[in-house]
Amino acid sequence: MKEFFSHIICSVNAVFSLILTIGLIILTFTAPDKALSSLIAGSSNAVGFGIKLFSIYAVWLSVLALWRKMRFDHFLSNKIKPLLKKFFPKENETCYAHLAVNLSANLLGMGGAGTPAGMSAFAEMKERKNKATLLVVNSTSIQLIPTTIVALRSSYGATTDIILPTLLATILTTICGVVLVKIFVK
Amino acid sequence: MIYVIPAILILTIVFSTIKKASVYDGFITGAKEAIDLTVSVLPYLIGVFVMCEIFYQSGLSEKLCSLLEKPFSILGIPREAIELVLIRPISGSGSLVLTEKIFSEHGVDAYASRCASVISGCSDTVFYIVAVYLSKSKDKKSYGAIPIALFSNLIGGIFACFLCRIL
Repeated sequence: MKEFFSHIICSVNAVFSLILTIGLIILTFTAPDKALSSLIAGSSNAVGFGIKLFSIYAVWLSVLALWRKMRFDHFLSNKIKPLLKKFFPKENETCYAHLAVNLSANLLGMGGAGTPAGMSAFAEMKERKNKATLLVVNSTSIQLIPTTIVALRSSYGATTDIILPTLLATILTTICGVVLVKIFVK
Repeated sequence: MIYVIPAILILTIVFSTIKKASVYDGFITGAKEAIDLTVSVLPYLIGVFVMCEIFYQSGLSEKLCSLLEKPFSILGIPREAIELVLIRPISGSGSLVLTEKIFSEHGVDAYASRCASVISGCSDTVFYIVAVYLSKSKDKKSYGAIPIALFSNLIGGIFACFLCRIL
């Protein structure tokens, strides 16, 4: 029973089914014609986004392929090895190399380069705790400067600064996530 | 900061040439890998985006917003930013559109706009990232990362609004 509940709470399936069921029930009463069309619209948005992602991946995977050839990823991971070993203990060299690229790309705001490297690191990982940490670190944002938001704000002629509060808040989200993984993931 | 990426790209090409690796071959390899990667990620993207669309279109997001207005205002999150806190974990582009809407309605230096900026910047699209990362793994388990990341991002959002008030 306990396992059943932890499965329900923790899975993507649970969130997906819940939102879809409630959403479709509401739509049936408010706008039944929208039920199917929003499913198709969502899927079509995904295809559009997928094509955009493909172009981003194509560029960054090329750069990553060159880095691999130069063994730049191993060089990077050797530089931050103590840090990697502390947060992601007991993994192999290939995994650390991918992790190093993932984390540094995220810090610099090159999310496109970080994602494929992070996926390779995730596929390579053995420890449950490390897998959870990697997912949490990536989904709580560790970007030093929020480039997209800064660009958007300056296009609106912003005079106030948000870089410092964003940096402080993002440090808090990441630390909070890592600590919670340490406590709750067995 | 805008010079970092071009500099990295130039250094990559220069060093590859010095090390006698073919830059062109590298690019072709990368583009080929991108095809496989996109194909394996696409089904998961469809899942997330379908969920997103239903969440919007059914008015579920609006209902949830008005439900959360009271408790969130106690936590210091302004009304305008509540929808953003809800959308941020499921859609990156959706939250950017919402942020822009808040900017144009309230002025970019208003409290709500500053909160929206910090909330967008300090969290990330949890569901998309978890879905994409799991697409390549064998056991497809997230080990509780979703609730943990969502909770952390909420804490970050509350802290963000607090910082906007004092800084």
